[in-house]
Amino acid sequence: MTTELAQTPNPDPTAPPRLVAVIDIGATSLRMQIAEIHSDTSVRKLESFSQAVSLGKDSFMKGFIERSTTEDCVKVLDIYRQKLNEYGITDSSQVRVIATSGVREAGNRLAFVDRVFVASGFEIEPFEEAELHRVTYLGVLPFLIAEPEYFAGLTMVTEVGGGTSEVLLLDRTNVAFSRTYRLGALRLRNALDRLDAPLGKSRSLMETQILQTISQIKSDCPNCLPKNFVAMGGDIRFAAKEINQRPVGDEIVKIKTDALKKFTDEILNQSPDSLAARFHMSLPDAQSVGPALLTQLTFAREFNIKNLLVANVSLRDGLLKEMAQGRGWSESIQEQIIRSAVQTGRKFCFAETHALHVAKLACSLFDQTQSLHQLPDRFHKILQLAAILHDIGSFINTKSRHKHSMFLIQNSEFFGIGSADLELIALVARYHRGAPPQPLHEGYAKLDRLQRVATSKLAAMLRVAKALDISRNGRIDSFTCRLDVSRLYLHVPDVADISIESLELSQAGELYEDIFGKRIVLTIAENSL
Amino acid sequence: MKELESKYLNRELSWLEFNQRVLNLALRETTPLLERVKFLAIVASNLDEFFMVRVGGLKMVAQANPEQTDVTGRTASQQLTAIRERVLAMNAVTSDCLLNSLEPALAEKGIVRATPDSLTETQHEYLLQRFRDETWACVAPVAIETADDFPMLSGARLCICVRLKYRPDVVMTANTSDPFNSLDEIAAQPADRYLLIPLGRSLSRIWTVPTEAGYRYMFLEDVVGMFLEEVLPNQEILEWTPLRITRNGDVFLNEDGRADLLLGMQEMIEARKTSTCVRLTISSNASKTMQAFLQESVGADDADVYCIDGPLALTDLFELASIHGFKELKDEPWPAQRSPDFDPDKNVFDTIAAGDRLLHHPYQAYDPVVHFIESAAVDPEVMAIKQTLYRTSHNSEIVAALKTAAENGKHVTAIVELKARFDEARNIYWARHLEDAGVDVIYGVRGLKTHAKLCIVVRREPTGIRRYMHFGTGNYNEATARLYSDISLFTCDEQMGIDAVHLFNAITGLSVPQPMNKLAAAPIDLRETLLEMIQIESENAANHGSGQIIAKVNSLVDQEIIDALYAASAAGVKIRLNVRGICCLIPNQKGLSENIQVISVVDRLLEHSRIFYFQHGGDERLFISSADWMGRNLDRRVELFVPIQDPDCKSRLTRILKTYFDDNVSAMELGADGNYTSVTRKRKKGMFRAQQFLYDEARQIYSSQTDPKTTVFQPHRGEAF
Repeated sequence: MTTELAQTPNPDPTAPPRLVAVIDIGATSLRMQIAEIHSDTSVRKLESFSQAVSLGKDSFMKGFIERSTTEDCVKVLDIYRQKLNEYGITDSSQVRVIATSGVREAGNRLAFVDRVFVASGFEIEPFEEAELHRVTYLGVLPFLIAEPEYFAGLTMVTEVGGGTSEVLLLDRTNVAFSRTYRLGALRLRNALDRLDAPLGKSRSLMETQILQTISQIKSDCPNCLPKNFVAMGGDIRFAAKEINQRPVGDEIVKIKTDALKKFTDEILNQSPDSLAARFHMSLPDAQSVGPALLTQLTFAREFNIKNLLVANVSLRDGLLKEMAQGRGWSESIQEQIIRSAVQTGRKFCFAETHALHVAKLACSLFDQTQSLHQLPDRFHKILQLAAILHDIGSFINTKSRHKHSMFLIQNSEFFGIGSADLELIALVARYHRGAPPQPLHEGYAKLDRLQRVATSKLAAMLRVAKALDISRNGRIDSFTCRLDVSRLYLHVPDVADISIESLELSQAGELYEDIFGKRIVLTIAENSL
Repeated sequence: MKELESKYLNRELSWLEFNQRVLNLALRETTPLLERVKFLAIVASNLDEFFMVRVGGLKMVAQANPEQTDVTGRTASQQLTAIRERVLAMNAVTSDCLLNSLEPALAEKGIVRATPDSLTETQHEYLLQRFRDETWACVAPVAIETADDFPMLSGARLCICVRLKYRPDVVMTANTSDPFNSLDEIAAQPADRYLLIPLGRSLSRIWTVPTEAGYRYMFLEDVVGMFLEEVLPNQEILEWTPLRITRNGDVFLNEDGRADLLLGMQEMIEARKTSTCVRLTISSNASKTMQAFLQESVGADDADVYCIDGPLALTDLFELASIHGFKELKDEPWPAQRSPDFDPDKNVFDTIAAGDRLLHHPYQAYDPVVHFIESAAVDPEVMAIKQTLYRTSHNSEIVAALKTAAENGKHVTAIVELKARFDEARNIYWARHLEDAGVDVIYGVRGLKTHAKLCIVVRREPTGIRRYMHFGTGNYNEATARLYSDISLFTCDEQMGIDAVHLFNAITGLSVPQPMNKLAAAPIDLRETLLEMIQIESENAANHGSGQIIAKVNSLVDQEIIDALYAASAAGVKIRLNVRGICCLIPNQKGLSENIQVISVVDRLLEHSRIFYFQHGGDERLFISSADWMGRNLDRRVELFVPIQDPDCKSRLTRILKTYFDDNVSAMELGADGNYTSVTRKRKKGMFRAQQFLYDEARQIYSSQTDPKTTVFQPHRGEAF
């Protein structure tokens, strides 16, 4: 995420609603949702659009997006732009455009993104799997809170897209596991087309591939024994509507696995052409609905699920919620991300108490010196995660452990963190000790100026926080900051001796002084003596 | 209708029965005389369209697929034979009604059709002068040597064919500088046998003959016939006859691959002018020679020829029916009543935001609909207007408002249905005007006609975007809104707004159809929704002993719906249907439909609203719709099915729907034998005419809510207050 995009919710209750839109460039469809965000961060959906595109077909079968497909997308986006103009949604901060696997997996994705930008002015955000988990979780979270009776024990959440399937395992409202697999409805359909599989044989061929993925999930998450199963996506909502004979509304809808099987059988026994005619759907949707339902069905059966829960929630809902929260992370998301970071730390046997204490002190410093560093709130979490994980490199070797930390973070998966943010976290952790950031350093050199400055500022703060817990006993639990022209005073209460910390700060504070022009001075608060 | 061998009635014959019910109004002696004349014009106009569309289509089927049968088991040829039989009988009744009943009765009241013999010299001179000045200058007579020379006459145009005595001694020269003289020359020249005089549409059919008392008139063809000898002085006129050709109007436009639908439609309109002749109407006074010549010339079979006693093209009787004065011979006016729901001093959007509003036209004025769009055009908070236009009126105020809106910078999208049959030319005209004003005009949907009546106004308000909708059962046509009974619903219901824009986006190609929660639309889910609603009544009747359906439609043709209704009847559902026109369902037949009653109300206003009531286990559901229960509406048109949710609107509309079943003046009931008979049930209060009652009710609604029972003064204040 870039800092320019960060916005805070409008706190004025009398403020008029903010008009926004999200555009989701998927493997089979290009969808847009226009909505209003009210001052209480509630979202009111106004209008939705969907147009069939064949991005996934190009990307998954040929490895690149055909020029004609790109132009088709440009035409659709041009129409969407006109609709946005109708609503007066003209500022880029009012619109998020994300692309999923259909674009992500194309060899010429950059050319596609550039063409779209030139033709329509839309800037497509790279949207990664980890971010997808975050947005999915955000979408499903209201149901976890509002209808807890459905979510006792472990809950598996799956969304079968055109190119990938997303799997989240929730322990009540906490994320226990999240991963994306290269199993998608369109990918399955393309495989059948490639093999020229007859209708009778296609089901078993697809099931073989789906079962392979399920086997992989069980291997990745041995404790994956879900009691509940939430199926997401347009295909399963369509199935739920047909099975229950009413559209999925605002509440969770239950469908029996047996009923889904019967319906899936019916769908798989019809050609996409007849499905398109019968259910008034686009041909790409008709091509993918069977494989998508078979995937959900096989998941449910393999995990011994009797009833599937279907919610009327989509990727776009999650994106809108993020926009409503000012594109920062909500408390629940932050909690899940920190849980994920702690789990990673434990995997590498980190000093958990120390790491969390350093993170606490770093966050306190960030909050108290906002006027000095002037970084958006989003960097607060970057700093916190870097602080939690700063020393995991010791697991490999204490020598150059900061570089090992960077490597481990770069190559780990964290719930909800995209690669750009992950890189920042890795770099901040890397600079918790050793040489200060330098233009030739790997990773740092690739950052833009704004990100380089932010990395240096955060690393400087992390060094200070780490120095404050150099004794690793948490004796400095809090401090208050005071600034003057050349110094930053940290007043520590309830501590008799701060000599070790002061000594450490004399070195660790150098980067801070270099960046902010303030020397760190540690003092014992007067009223505590 | 013939005895029944099928569980359905033939749609063509059922339509003819509907036209017979209109004819009955012309025959009814209690109907004011000039209104009876008007009904004869309607009968003729209906029949013209029937021949153009249905007979044209059947003739094509008979040729391409002679073995194909309809649901009643009749082939196209059998249907054409049955149609001819019925039309011949109807024509005889029509002529008899005009010549032997209406004309004498009108004459008694001072409205006299003058004959040449009865004209005074002054009248004769006046007519001759007018004939020379206005008529003869406008016609282009064509001399014909053989049937092959017969010109391509456009359909529905009245002509005169003159048979002249053969004179081989005259040589033809061409001099057309003076039409009157040139005709003299043409006729005097080769002196071949026939002269065809097409009478243009611009010529008035009814000629007023100056008179001191009452009103005297002549038909155009009689005036021309009267002066033929004067304009053809050197010719011996053997005979002359008026004639009229009806051409197949069911010309198919292949939209596939058409880059420019507008151009395609114009080509289709042209093609319709020269398509096959499906009916040749001539005077019964014409000789066999003349008839044979005309038949050969236009390519009409014996079965296509209709010989008429008296004047042809009775559609033009509309002119006579609307002559000034003679109030006692016309219906008492029913001026449209204002609705107390719409205070002209209040913002229309505030009015709708305060609650759903229902209007019953034409008893209640159409002005709020026009005002709604006009207000949207100038309201600074309105961002967009989305409008469907199927058949608009001349100088439509709605079209003008849309243009104003676009000029005011609103985003205006109009779906102008170019394929609205016989209104294509007018719609092309409006479409171009709107485009010029900056309106985003969509020319309908490929393969479908956009028949839904929908206007969405998107407005920015302090609490967020709000959508105001008008849903109707009638076209956005201020002229027909004065004659057709239709329902208007105004609402700003959130979900209906979302559904409406989703449908609009789907029609305009912005999006694939999105799921709708409250509205149902054809061809997406309207059929399924209707079948489901009927099925629920069946289940309720079977399981709980109670199910009820009341529906008001213009036509009931769709086999699947009929079968569902039969099944519901068998399950014990009480079904009452008010079907104005075609009804292929057989009611009240033992073992098939004993719980189904079908009535048809044909009266001074054209019943056009579609209203549907389902008991739904006590949770009554009420809908209005643009769609009839016909295959074309459910499968090949974009139609809407709109719930009425507001309790007040619901109760009023239910009352309106049920009112028709109390009618014992204008209602006729369809029997199990397929025949319609007058409803004879007695009411304590005597005769009950639904349309009269509904008009009185509209007056009463307005007066009861506007009568100042208490004296509350509302002074006009200046800005200072």
